[in-house]
Amino acid sequence: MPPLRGGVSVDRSARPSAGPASATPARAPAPRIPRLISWPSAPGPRQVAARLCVTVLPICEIRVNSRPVKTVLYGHNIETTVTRRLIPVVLIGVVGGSAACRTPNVQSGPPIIQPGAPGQPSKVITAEKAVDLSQVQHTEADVQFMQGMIGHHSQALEMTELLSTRTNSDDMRKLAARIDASQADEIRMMQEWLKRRGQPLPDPHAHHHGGKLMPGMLTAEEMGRLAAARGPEFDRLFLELMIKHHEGALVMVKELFATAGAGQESEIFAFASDVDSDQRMEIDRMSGMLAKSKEFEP
Amino acid sequence: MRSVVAKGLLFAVLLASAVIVADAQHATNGNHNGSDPRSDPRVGLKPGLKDAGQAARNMELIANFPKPEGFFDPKEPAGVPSGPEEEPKDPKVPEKEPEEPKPGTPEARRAAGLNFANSDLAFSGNHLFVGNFNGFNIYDIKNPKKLKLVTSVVCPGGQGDLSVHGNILVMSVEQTRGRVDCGTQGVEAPVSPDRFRGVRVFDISDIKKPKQVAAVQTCRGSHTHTLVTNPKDTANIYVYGSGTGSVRAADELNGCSKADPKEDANTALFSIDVIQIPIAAPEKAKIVNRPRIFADPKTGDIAGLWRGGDHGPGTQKTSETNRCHDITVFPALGLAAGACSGNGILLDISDPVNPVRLDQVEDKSFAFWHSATFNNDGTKVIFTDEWGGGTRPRCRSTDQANWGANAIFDIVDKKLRFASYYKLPAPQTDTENCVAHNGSLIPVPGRDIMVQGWYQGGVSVFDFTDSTKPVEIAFFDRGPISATDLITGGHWSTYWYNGNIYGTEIARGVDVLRLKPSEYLTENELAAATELQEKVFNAQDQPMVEWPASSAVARAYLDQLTRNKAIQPDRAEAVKTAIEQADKRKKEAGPQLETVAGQLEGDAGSATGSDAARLKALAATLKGRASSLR
Repeated sequence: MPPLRGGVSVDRSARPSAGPASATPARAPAPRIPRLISWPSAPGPRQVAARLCVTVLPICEIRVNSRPVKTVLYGHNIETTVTRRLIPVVLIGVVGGSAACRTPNVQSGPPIIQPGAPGQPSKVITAEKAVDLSQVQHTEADVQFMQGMIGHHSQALEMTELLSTRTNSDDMRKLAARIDASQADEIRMMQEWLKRRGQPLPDPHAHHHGGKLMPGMLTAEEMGRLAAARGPEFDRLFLELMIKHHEGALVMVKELFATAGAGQESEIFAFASDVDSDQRMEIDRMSGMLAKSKEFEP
Repeated sequence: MRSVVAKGLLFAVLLASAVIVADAQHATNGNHNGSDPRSDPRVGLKPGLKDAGQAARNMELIANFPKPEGFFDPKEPAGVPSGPEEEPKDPKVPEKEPEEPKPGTPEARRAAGLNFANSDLAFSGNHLFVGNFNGFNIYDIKNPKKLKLVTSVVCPGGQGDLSVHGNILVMSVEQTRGRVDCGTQGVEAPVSPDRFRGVRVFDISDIKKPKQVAAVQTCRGSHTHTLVTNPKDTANIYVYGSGTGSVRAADELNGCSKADPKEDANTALFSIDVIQIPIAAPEKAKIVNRPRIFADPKTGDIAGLWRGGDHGPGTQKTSETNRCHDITVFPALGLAAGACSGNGILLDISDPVNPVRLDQVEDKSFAFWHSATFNNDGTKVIFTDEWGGGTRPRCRSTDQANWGANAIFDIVDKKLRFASYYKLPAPQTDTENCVAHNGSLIPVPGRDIMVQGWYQGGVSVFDFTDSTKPVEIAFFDRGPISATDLITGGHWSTYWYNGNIYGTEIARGVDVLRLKPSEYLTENELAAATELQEKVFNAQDQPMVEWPASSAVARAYLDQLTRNKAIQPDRAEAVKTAIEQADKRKKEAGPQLETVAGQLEGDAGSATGSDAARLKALAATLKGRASSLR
């Protein structure tokens, strides 16, 4: 049975569950006998009442949403619908000192199976082992990837910032808006990822990571050249440098997956895969734009 | 003596009234008729993982079964929050986000806390198979109000999509942590023979102890898969594997290349994996083809479809078509609908190993073509758009109404013709991940009805008999898991199976729901749908349902004709009487049914559209009913 509230579990005879008790008249899994009560958190009045209900009082009814979900008689769960009809009878039983409805109905969850490789037998494992993700947590390489990618993305934003006063092309403006939106969103995501793991947030303008310029990052000289360019010349240079910049991100993803233990955690796997496919697509588009712009070259 | 008894009674009464009331919110079940979203009961529901407020109309939650131990993190049972959408902190980020929603893919599948997410569902007999990123669970559903957990299997790797066929269970694995031996420890080395990404095959002849018999490695892993049964080849089943992840290194799996097709004609991009599983020897499962279904027939360029990007000012940015996200096959017609990231495509699969593309469509509102569902006669197909990847809130009142929605297409001469969009009509909060997701048909004869999960947007049941005017007819929704954090949750898949709707809730377990008769759906229509009892159901291997010539089916058609005022009252009365007589096994019932069936056929001649079809279907059903009396 699910916990009542505040982590009080009234049923330890079966494997506990994560979900809601109260959403529905949670007559959820089969009725079971409350055996033990655990107190993961400080008990409140309701928990105390629930404890009294299942341990001390001969009979009581637990209601959720004003609908009865559990009736406990001498510490035993009994079906609520039946109970309604039975209560008068039971009361007489209590008065007469009779120990009615003591038939136990023990039912525990099945064991957790872990299959082997094809052809190998399956085995039974513990719940602790089943949820043990200790070896697929983020690694130092994952953290460095996220920290580095924030700086990397930030430079893309610096590049697009130059664009508005230097281009005459609507297509270029649209391209920049797209890069802006996607990279800004990803920066926020990466910052959240680091924060939740208690890792330091890098200065977004750090261009170096681990002492060397990250792949695809523009040098100060290249940024200067871009800032000095105007019109079609700017557009061409922007596309060339942004393609190089994005290709650098692909290298970073490749290096991440080539590092022992890295990219295993679900989130980093999904994120790095997205960076890879998105930047690859953006490179394709920019290559197309670049080829087109060269057609008009004198 | 007397006083003692009285005391005892009083004591017992006091104890009996020890009632503990938890303050869960009452389920809202209003009779609200207006379409004003502000007055929709789904707006403003109380947040909470276990005690969220609920709203339902024309359907009810009959039971919820929380995730069993081994399938949630005891430290964070709800899952890990993901980042907020607003208030950029970085100075480089523009103060105000452009109203134009952000591109589809970069944020796609930002899989926050998905390590233990519940995913897709499959059914066989009395068993429900629930996929999870950490493995799968099997329930006995003989009593839908009291599911019994039969088996828990741990075998991580995500997403854990499942299909079942006899004693064979097929599972998708895409992540780099996946291991051949189902271990939970991940794979340390970047290149390793222990890593598994692809399609697993289990023998479930001992349902309590599934055994892995094959593990077919693929270059991009298997994000989803589709079981393909072929009426002409019953010795094998086929699996279309759709890999969306990064392509692995060739030194881990021979022949894998992520190169541009111009550089390497054998690139793993721009294809799907066709896997053959011999039923008698599933251990011999193998890839038999990687068809280039996106090729340009004129130039032969394998990257022949949408190359990614937007469609002009104010349009959505659509992913590149270099893979399918999901494919739904319809073996009865030899057709398949592929939701292939940048396009919706229609395939001829009469030879399942060599699918041939018949048509393709683009859509200016779609970010990511995600999944497909045919109607029962294969004349319509619904494609979903998973804008935001399923982990972002995309049903807010500020989100564009046609983005992250369903697009309904008619199939005319094996070509796709756009008809309309359908999006969840109730706005959701910004801490609820919400977008169109997986669903199935509800087999009501004479109508096209679908039940669909919208993640934390809940469950929506809608009628698309008129493909240009989809109408919501029932819903169920909970408040957000958290009022302050976006925690990935909600309904991944909701499928009809033999009278009930089963839903996988990413964080809250399995829901069992039931439709209630309403102004949109009569008791007879529901009875006709419930009467159909399938032996197996895999949503992406879509069966063509054939309704029996039963009284329930006849009454369902009659209700529809009456609702549409497409039948004369006296004729309706005659039909009703004839069915009643048949149910009472009266001798005169046979001729009565035959007579009124003949009259209905005459009526059909002067009727049009779906009502003409219903009149004919009713006539045929009555004739069938008559012959069953003989």
